[in-house]
Amino acid sequence: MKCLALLVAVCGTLAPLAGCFYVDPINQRPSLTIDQPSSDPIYRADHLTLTARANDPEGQYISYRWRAYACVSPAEPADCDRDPITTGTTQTFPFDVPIHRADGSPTEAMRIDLEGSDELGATSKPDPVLKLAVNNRPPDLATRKTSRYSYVVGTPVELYAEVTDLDDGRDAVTVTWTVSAPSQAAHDLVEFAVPDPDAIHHTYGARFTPHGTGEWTVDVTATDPLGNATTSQLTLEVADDRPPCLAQLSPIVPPAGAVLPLTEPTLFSAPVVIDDLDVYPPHAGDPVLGTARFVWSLQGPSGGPHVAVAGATTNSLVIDPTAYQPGDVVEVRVEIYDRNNVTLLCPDGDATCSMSTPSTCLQRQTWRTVMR
Amino acid sequence: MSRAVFALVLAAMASACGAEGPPGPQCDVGITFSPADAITGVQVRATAVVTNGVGVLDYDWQVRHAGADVAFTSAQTSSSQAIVFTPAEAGTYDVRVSIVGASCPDASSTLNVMDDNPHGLSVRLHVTPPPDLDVPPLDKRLSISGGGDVDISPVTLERGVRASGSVVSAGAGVSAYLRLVPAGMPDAPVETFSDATGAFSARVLDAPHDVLVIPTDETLAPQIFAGWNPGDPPLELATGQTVSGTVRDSANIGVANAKVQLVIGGVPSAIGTTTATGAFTLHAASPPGADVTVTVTPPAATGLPRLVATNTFAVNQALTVRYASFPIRNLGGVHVRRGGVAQPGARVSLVGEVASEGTITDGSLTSQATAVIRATIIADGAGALPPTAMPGLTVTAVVAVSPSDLAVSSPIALGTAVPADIVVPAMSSFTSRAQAFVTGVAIPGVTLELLPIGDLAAAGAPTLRFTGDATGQITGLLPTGGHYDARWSDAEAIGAPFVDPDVSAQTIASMYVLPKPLFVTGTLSVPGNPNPVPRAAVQILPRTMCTGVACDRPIAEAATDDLGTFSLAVPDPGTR
Repeated sequence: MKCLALLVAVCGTLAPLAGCFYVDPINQRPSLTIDQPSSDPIYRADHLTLTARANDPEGQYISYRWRAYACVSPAEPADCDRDPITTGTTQTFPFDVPIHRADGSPTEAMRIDLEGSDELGATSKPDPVLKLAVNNRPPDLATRKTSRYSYVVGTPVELYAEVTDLDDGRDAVTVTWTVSAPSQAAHDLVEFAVPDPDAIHHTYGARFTPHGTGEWTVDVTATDPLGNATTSQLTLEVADDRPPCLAQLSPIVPPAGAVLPLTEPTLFSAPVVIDDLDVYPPHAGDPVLGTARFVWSLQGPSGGPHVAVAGATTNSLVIDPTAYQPGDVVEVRVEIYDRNNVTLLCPDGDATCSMSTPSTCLQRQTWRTVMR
Repeated sequence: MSRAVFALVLAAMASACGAEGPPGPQCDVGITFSPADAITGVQVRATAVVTNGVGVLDYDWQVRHAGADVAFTSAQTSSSQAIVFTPAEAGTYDVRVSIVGASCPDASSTLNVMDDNPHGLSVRLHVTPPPDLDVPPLDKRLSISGGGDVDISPVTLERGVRASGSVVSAGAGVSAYLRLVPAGMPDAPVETFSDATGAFSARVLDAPHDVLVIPTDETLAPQIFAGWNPGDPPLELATGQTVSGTVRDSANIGVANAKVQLVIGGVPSAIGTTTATGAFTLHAASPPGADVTVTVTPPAATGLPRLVATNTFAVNQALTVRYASFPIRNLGGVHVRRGGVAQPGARVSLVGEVASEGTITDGSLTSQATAVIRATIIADGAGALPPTAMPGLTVTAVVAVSPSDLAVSSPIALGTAVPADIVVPAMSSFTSRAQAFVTGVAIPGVTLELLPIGDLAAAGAPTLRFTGDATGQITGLLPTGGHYDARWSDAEAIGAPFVDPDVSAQTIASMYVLPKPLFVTGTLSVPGNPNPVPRAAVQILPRTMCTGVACDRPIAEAATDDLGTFSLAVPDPGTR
C-alpha cells in the first residue's frame, strides 16, 4: 500500500509532467540458527543429525550449505582439519563423528559451519557456527548367562560378554569378572575362548560354577585403554537340586478305588523322568547329567508292606498274571531317586509320595492291579 | 416394431441377462495322500481337497487296485472328507472321489505303493505326549533305509477329540476299565476308567474305535464294542453267554474253589469259581467261531497245576475239565542246598509247563491241556521247605538265596520222587565288553541289560542292568542255568543298540561290536498349536520278530527337549 501510495503520490504530483516510475521492494537477509543436539555427551563414531532453522522476512526458500570439520579444542578454524569431513545442502545434516582427524590424531571436537541464502541471493549474516566437544567412547558391552542344569548348585553356568569399542577397537578392550557370593560361598570361574560373531565384536566366555545356593551376582566390566569402563551385572539365583518327577507312566494308573485288570504279561514302565540333573531317558554326551534310579516293589495278594523286587533297577518291570491266582489284587509300585537319594518319608500305605514342591511332582506311584 | 416382436426381444434379453448375475469361481477338487511315499502294510490317508465348493459337502469314495475294490474306512467320525486304507500289495492304487451336494467335478488320483524296504529297518514309532498336552498317542510304522541319518519331521500328533460316554448294564452305570483302540492305529490305545455312574472321558483320535470294557465287578462279562465313535450312545454291557461246566481231578472228583476264566476272541470272561462239586458258571461275551482259551486255576493247597487249553469250544455247551493222573507231592522237608550247605530263607519259585496233563472238552471238541506250574515257597531257618502240595510233574526251581543271588536248578522230576534236596549252583561270573563298529574302540560306560527269559521269566526274575567301566568292560554274576536276552546300549550313541538273544553266563560273548548308529531325528507338532512339545516319550519299537512284552521294549527311546525335538540312535541297516 505504501508503494501504491507513493506511486499515486508521485504520479499525482508529477501528473502535469510526462510519465510514472516504481521502486522494487528491498530484499532482506535470512537469519539462520543450528538446533542444538541433545545435551548427551558426544562420542567418536557417533551418528549425529543437525537441523537448520531459517527465517526469511520475505518468506523465500532458503538454500543451505553445511561443512563439518574434525578438530581439537577449542575448535577454532586453526584447530581444525583443512578439509571438511563432509558437507550438506539440505535443512538436516547427518554425519558420523570421525574417530581420527586427517593426521591420525583422535578427534577431540567438531566444528560445523552453516551458510544460507535466499532466492535472490541474500546470504545470512552472521553465519552460525556450532562447536561440539567429542569424548572418548567407552566400550559397548552385552552380557548373558545360560545354564543347562537349571542353575543348580555345583553345576556350571556359562557367562558371555560381547564387547566392541568403535574408537579403540575391540581388541583393545579388557574384560574382568567380579563375583559376589551369598554367604561367602565358594565358586569356580574359568575363562574360555568363544568364536567372535563378526569383525567388530569380541566375545569373552567364562564357565562359572557356584558352590552355594542363593543369589549370586557377577559384575562384568569392559575397559578401554584410556580407562573408560562399562559394567553390566548378571544375577543368578542358584538353587538346590530338586527331587526328580515321574513325568510319564505306563500303563494307566487307576483312580483311587479302582483296579487295573491284567489279562496278560504287562510291562510297567516310567518312560520319562524329569529332574535337574538325573533324568530318564539318559542324555547322551553330557558330562554332568546322570540317570534317575528306579526301585520297584510289590504288595502281594495277602497285603502287608511293599517289598522291593531285588535287582529291579531299570525303568520297567514285567508283571505276569499267571504267577498269581485270578482275582488276586497286587500293588505294583515304582519309586525314583536322583543322586541325592532323598529318603521318601511317606508311609508305605500311601500310593503316591512327593518330597518336593509342587506336590504334583511325584517320586512314587502305585498301580493297584487285579489278575484276570 | 410390433408388440409381438417387442416381446420376443424382451424375452431374449431377459434370458441373455439371467437372474443371478455373472458366474462365480469354478469348484475344483483334488486328492492328497499321506504318506505320499506309500509302502505295503502301512496305512494311507486320502483326503479330498475342495476349493470353491459351496454348501455342506459329502464325499463318495472308491479305491481300486488290480481291477478290484479295496476296502477303506472313514478317517473321521464327523466327515467323509478323508479315508484310510492299507495297501496289501505293491502297485498302483486308483482313488476316486465324487462330491455330493455341490456342483464339483469328480477327482481321481493314482497312488504308487512300494514294497517295504527289504534291506531297511522296519519298526514302529510310538509317541506318548505329555499328560498336560491332552492329545492322543501316536504309533506308526517306520521303514528306515540305511546309509545315512534321517529326519522324519514333522511328526504330527493329531489333536483328536474329547470323547465322553458311559458304560451301563441293565440301565445302571458300571465302573470299568476301558481300552479304546483306534482303527488304523491298533498299537496306540487310550486307556481310561468309568466311574461308579459309568461315566468316562478320554482324548482319542477322531476315528472309530474298538473298545474293550472290563467291568470292576468280576461277575459281569467283559465285552468289546467294535466301531465305537465318540458321541455314540452308552456302551450297554450284555449279560453275555452263560458258560457252565465242571472241573474234576483224575479220580473224577470235583475240584472245589478253582478259578475258571475264558478268553474268547481276545476278550476275557468273568471269573467263575467252582462249587464243592467242581461246577462253575460264568458269563462271557462269545463271538461265534472265536478261539476260546480256558484257564483253570485250582487252589494252591490242592497241589494241582493250572490247566490251559485253546480251541473253538462251543461255550453254549457244558465244558468239562479233567486233570490227568499224576501224583500230588508234598515238598515239606526238602532242603535247599548249595555246595551241601542249607540255605535258610531261600525264596524258591517252582516253575514248569507240561503238555497234555489234562483235557478240556465241550462234548464235541476235546483239547489236551497244558499244565502250568507257578509256586513260590520260602525255606525256613534251616533251609527246609514247609509242607507244600505240588503236582508230580517236572519243574525247575529258581531260587533267590539272597536278593542279589539267584540260582536255577536242574529239572526236578517230581513225577518220579520228591528229592531230599533242591540243589542250586553258585552264580557264575561273566566278563564281556562292547566296542563300537565305527571306531573299533571300547565304549566306556556302555549299558548291558539282561532280560530274563524261560524259567527266570516264569519266576518273575527282574531285568539286570550293568554299566561298563572306562574300558567298556562289564564283569558280573549271573545265575547258573539262567537264560537272558542281552541288550547293549550306549547313551553316547557311539554304537547303536544291539540284542543277543538267549545268552547265559556261559554263552555270553566276551566281546560285542555294537553296530554303526543311524540317527532318527524329528520335531513334534500339533496342528493349530504353535508351541513346541517337550517331555513327550518317543520310542522306536520292534515291529517284527517279537512277541508279547518283547514288542513293548524300546529299541531306542528319548524324551523331546524344550523345542520338541528328539534324536534316537538305531542300528544302521546299511545299503545294498
